[in-house]
Amino acid sequence: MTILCSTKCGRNAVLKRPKTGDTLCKECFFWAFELEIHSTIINGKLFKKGDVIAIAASGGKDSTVLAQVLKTLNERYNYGLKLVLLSIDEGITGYRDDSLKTVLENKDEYQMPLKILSYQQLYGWSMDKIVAEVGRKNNCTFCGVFRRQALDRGAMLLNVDCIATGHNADDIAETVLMNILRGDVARLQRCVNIITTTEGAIPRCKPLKYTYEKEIVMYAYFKKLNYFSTECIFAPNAYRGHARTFLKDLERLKPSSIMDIIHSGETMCIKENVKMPERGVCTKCGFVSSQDICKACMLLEGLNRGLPKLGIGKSSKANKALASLSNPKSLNF
Amino acid sequence: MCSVNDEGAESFEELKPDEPLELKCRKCLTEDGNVILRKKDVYCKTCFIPMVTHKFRATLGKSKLVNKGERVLVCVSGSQSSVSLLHLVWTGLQQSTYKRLTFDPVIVYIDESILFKYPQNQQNKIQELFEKYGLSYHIVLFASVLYSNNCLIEDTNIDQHNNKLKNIFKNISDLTLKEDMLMKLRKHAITKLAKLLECTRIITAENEHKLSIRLLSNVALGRGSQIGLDIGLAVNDKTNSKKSLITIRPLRDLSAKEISYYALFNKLEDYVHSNFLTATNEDESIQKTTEQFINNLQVEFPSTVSTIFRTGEKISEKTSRTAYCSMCQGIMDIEMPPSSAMEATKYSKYVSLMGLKALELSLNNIDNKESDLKRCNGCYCKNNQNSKEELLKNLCYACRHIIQNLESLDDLPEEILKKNSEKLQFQKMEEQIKDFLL
Repeated sequence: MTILCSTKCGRNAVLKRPKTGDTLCKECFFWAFELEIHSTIINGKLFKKGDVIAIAASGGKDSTVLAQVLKTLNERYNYGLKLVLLSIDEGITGYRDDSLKTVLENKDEYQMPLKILSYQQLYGWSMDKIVAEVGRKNNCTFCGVFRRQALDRGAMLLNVDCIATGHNADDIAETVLMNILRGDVARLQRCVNIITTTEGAIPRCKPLKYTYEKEIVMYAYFKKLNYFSTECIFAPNAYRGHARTFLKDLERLKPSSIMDIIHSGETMCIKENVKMPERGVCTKCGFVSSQDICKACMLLEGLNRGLPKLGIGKSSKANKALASLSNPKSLNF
Repeated sequence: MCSVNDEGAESFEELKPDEPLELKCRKCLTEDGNVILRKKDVYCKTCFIPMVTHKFRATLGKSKLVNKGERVLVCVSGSQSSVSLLHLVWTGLQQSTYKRLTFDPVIVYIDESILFKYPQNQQNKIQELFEKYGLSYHIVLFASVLYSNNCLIEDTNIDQHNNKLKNIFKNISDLTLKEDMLMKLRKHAITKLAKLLECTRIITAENEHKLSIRLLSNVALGRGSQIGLDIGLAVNDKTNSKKSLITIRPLRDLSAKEISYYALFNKLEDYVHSNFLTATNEDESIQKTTEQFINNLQVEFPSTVSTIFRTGEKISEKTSRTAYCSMCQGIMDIEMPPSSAMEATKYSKYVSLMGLKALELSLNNIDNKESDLKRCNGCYCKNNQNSKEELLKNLCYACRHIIQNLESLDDLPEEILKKNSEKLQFQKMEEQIKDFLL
């Protein structure tokens, strides 16, 4: 049985859209997919003409598709953007070294400049070394905190106006759920913003915010895009795994759940009398932080002092532990 | 994608499994314990009951919303929580003067046996229970509350009303939406009863566990902006301008376990109380999946329920808006900026139908085009379609999903439709004079 494309273009449909349930042919799907991201960019006012944009490229499906789509749209609709790729090498043998190969291929294919920064050169520690020190538990804390700052550093080096990340709708919905489960109201409010701007830091935006993960895979599949799809070899984050499974269950029941959750996140508001963390700068490295000493410096201090557990857990506890140690050594980057 | 930060994990304290528990009650230190709470705190029966009572009284007192002699509607469904609530209220009324609850309770039981199979003598049993307490009470049929104005005395058209109610749910095939609709209709019925009985406060029996499940399902259903309304301690019904009606949930600080033990120690019998999810599988509805998810997490991380619940406490509605949904009285969340999940969904639907043609039309044309499409589908009964469109205009994001499933609006309670036409009238007036308003 053949099903016709729901746009009445006359061609046979080859897929059913996970997001809307409509049946589309390959050509119409490409159009729909790209137009939606275009409309997200225009409506969200993500870019200005002449901006230099760093695409945070990991070599995975999201960032590969993001690079491809941004390049296409930039040319088609004359955004006038200069696109560069920015990769962070965490130093995970058997994972990041392979995925960076994909990024290198992307660089040639899309003709974009590429900058790779490594944890080793920024912090003096690669993830392999960190895991050897702290073990398999909690190592995602190091990786996540360091990457956030590493991207900022990379973007400053490249002197870009904005960092575009490949977070998709599933990621955002999952983060909304995670922040409720963890009781993190400050992040709950921030996580649905399409652009996050912080004074003194480079704005970040998520052009794929309303794009379903399944459709990203479909796009990559039909475009025959080359991407790297191995899970990180270090322990996957178990708690986030629960939220992810839950979200997939919801999506199966009602495909619009993902958008419904984002809608919930967008319409929720934090009560005025709730104490929120204040935004300041780290006294050690000068990057944005809610504490005197930012998480990255705290973790690094712990590593350098041979107390890897120092930065994990409450900041107040870490501060006490730090104060009790004599002769604090300043950190140099 | 990796987690950015694992900070949250620390709040889930791990318990050393082999730590021997104290056998004596941690409060009086003399009696042998009967209950273990939070996996480690042992209480004896004599200390446990006052503790539960105290939490109930504290939550109620903290709200400072119930005045002396005020008429308060106490909703009893027959569930364990609600019979415990009834017992707590009754006990409060028996106390010596300075501790006595001073409000004037009116107990109601809404009989939903038309929708669910209950044991035949259930209504009699409930009546016996209410008689035993000797408080003023009303037992009413669900359909009569929704459709009749005489529900407290006699409903002469009960068969017709019952059919209407059954029809609504027959038209909604999706279990998730069915349950959501039931919740909204129950709320509507309770509000109506409160007005009929001249009560200014409503007390319901939801506990912490139930509310945290409701919170997360609400988020999954797109009701994020209504969380305050659905789980808050005191919810002011702002739509009722003449007399403010406030819903209070005094058991919200108690866990399901605490309530079970309270019922057990006081030998309180509970009754069958169903909804559409009773005896369904977890993979059939969002609410049940959420419940399962929270229960599983709770086993591994014992502070899950309270963390979710505390998060909910900090969420409120956006106050700048003044419009409310005709169905659920929740805040209207449908006027969103162009960059929002709602607009993005609309655009997705549009692009999938228009394909390349979407390029030629600008984004602003979507709405016109959309209504054109709809008209073609439903032209055989244009009137009906129009009134549905008009109702949808005044519904919140999640309620729209429910109503879109209904074929006709005739089975909806009259008040909802009436309120909606009033609103429409008002909007039309506003439209006419808008150029002259300063």
